[in-house]
Amino acid sequence: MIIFEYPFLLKSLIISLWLNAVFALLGVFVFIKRMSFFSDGIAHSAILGLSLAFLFDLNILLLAIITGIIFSLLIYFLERKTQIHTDTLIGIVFVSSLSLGLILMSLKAGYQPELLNFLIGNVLAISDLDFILTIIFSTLILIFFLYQFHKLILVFLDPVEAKLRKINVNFYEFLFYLILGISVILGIKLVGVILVTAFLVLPPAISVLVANSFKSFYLLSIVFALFYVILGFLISIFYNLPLGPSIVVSASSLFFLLFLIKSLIK
Amino acid sequence: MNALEVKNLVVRFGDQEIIKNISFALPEGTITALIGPNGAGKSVLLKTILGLYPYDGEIKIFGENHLKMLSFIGYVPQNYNFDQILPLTVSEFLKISEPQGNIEEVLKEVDIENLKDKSISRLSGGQLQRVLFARALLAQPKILLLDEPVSETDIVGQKEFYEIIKNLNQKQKVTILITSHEITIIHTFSQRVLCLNRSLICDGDVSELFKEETLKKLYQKDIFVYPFNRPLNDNF
Repeated sequence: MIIFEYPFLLKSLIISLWLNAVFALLGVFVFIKRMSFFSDGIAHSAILGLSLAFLFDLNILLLAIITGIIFSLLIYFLERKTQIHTDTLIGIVFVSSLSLGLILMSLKAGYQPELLNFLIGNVLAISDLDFILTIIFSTLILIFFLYQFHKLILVFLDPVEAKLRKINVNFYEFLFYLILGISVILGIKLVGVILVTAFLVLPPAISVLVANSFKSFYLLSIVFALFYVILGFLISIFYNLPLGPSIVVSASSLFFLLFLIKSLIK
Repeated sequence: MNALEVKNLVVRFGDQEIIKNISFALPEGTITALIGPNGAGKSVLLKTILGLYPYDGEIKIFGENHLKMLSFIGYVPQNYNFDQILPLTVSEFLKISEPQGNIEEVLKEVDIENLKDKSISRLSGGQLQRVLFARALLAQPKILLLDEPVSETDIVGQKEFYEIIKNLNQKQKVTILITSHEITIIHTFSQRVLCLNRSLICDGDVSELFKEETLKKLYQKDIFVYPFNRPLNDNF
């Protein structure tokens, strides 16, 4: 099989499968908390970090992670200190940082291929260092989520009940925002700013169409994510199409297919 | 000993005083009804006891600051906004709240064993209230705060529910504070009554409920509770 003949393809497949499994699990929480727009906002906010990195010749991934964290926390605090709805706050932070990023970028003349990689992603070009960093970060995130699974679900489903169970709701929400911010930035490296939200939103959206219990909901989210990553890889290789969009189109096709089948069965 | 003690409690939302300097105590093992018109501050009082709103005054549970003793409380909210699309069975819902709790036992206690594998989103309002009540019992609370727990339940279900709480109260000495508009049912099941309309109108024996002057003061209108304070053939 062609994937096993080329080490860079195998490396890309491994990182895509691993990161998507983690994103599928994170996506379950995003789904419950209705935060799909949050990840989109953070992804676009990262453009400010990228612009700063280009302008001052700093490490792109590091700057993107820092901006992601700053904007996650900014939304978290604004949410608590103002009476304004979260989606409006995300919109404000999103467009402000994106615009600021574009202004900064205009200060540096010339074509910037690295920037294009961040916009549309390039998992095939992932460096060994980024590969290791992504595996370490995502594994830590996975361990945290598996270990704190029940607490996090309760915090998101019913914060009042969580408080009665002596769970520090603010702490867990804060941590979730932080982790989500970092995860989105790691995902950008894979599929880019534009498509990263798909990794969080599509697995639970597909799963919820067929799941009949919470356990099947999160397990199927992961299974579907792994399935459409492999499908996207095969389509990309055999039809010579860009990888990130191929994965996302595979996922959305799966969603519409299941939706259609479900509608016909009803 | 007092299970719950509230002293000089004032709760403000902005400039508005929702609860105006009230004090009361619930002796351990009693069932107390909290009554009052809509907007009287009943739910706010319960949520303040749960530590959800800032306040002036003092709230103690078994002599300790209430925030340290929240795990002693079981709570059934008045409304529960559940995401209808989320696939979650009743037993999963209970397990998420209390992973160590004995789910089988509590479902049996509340008489909803048949709902165990049913999806939460497919429950009726009354069934959901019963599940929320089961959840409140999972951690074996010493105090139960019930905010209109049978508002969506039929008459048979209401009677069964009150039998369960009476049983709980007698066997396990659980202290219960329940808000309800069902004055006649409250009369049957509770021993004490608190009448709240921002400030405390009455605090004492359940017979207070059927004094015309108490009800008039509480609801700002003439209220007759047949047949307790007015025979049916009496003219208005």
